[in-house]
Amino acid sequence: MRLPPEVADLPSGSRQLVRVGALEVLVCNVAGEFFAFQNRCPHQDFSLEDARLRGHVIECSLHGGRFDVRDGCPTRAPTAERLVRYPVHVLDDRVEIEIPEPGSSP
Amino acid sequence: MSAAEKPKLPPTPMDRAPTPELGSAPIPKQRYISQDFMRREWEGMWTRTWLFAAFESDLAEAGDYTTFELGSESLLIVRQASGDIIARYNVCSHRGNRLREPGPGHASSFSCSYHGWRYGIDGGLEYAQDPESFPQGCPVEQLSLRPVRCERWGGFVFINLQPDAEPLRDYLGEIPEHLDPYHFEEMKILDDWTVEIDCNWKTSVDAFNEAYHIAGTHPDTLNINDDTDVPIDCYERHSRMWLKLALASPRHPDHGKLNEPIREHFLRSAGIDPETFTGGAEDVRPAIAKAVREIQGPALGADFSELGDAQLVDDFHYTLFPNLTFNLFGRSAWMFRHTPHPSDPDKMLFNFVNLVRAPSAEIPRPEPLRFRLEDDFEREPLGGGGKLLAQDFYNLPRIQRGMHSAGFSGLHLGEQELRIRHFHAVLDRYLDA
Repeated sequence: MRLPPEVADLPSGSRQLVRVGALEVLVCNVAGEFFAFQNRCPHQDFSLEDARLRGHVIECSLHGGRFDVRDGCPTRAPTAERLVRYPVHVLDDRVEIEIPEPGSSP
Repeated sequence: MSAAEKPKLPPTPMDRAPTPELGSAPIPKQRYISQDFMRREWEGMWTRTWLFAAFESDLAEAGDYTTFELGSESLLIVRQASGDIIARYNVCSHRGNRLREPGPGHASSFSCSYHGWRYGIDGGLEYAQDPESFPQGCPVEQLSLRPVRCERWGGFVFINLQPDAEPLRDYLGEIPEHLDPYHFEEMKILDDWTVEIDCNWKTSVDAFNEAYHIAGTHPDTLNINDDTDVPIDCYERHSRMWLKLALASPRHPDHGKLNEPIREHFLRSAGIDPETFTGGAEDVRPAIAKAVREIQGPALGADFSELGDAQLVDDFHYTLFPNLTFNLFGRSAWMFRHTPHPSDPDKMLFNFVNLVRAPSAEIPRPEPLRFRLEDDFEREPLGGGGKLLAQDFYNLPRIQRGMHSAGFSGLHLGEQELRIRHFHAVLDRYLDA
């Protein structure tokens, strides 16, 4: 799925919330590399829109849980679950993400 | 005020403190191994002394926080919008849940993961679910995170669990006058790791509070230091010793000679080419001080002129009672923080921080690491001193186990170990108060 063209201009070290239908996707640019995942902390489904991104680590503002955006793995409690990640491709200066069909295996 | 306008600090005082009369009785081993003594330390000392809790530089923006774990307590250290830094117990006032996991972070508020009570970064309670259901009255108007005394010096944040403790400056005594010329607030963190060691926290403090162990534990360093002439100064609470570097010990065959390690390590790291250096062994230390002050400092944008020759060449070891020790090398410093285990007198947490002033390159703040003693320290990225510390760490659990033996009753200390005796005398003042 192609994201709006301005997503490609997201500065390094920042993130943007993108709505894809009913789905909220958080896109991060870390040193020129894009990462995308579902906008919810797996601990209590809290939005990560206000989460701080430092390097490859994003920190949920509710209870301080941390995740590595490269693989979605938690790096600090309270949760041991991963972020739901979407593969990202950059084609013709547009950022595209792969969203699996509902029911398909991740 | 720009750096150029700042008044120059006087150099670190070098005058000798009077030697305290502390007798020669053995130090009972129970002080290192007993649960009862550990409890007395907690109630009489840990809860009444100023303790290093955080680096100011880690709390750059409002909402930046870190935790300070001390025994079974955990504190939140939080930067405010006003620029102040405050400390609060890291525990929800409702049912006692820990608010945040150990470590640094950023928060716009602190929400409890139990019932969702939410505190502002100033510790005030902002939200409690169904506040009208509390017959005591609305919790938001009554409860907050309990405050802890928090004051700063030299880029370091200190806390004191005693609400009516004396001001930090009074507690530090002579330390700011001695150490301000080092400008810790300008230093960058190169390494920051913590290892759990199977020994009492004082076993670890002791291991660095004397130079008597150098020949036995670090014999490979006797070609670059003089372990036989180490002045000791004991102050009201704190103490220091002065280990001269860039010369060989009288115990070593290189004594009086300009050997390879002094040429290659000490001269070269001061920017002096050992191939063109024409001086003798006795000229090395003044040459290093001059080169660092006049050439290296200005080239790196640092003013080392407030430090004396000895401070720029040698290792000044300071112990800030109870648990913060520094090896100061002028351009850099090692900082050790020795903290007790929450419940076991035979365990402690050793935090090593490698600091450097005016690095030649921009250095990102490294994530704090956690090791086990079984890890291979010589291969781990310990920064300078990895081999030295591995030698000390080999001894520590063995000392602790040995102290439990019926074959050992207490520490039999010599004059070169006076700082250990002084440390126990200061500790006694807290325990007997």
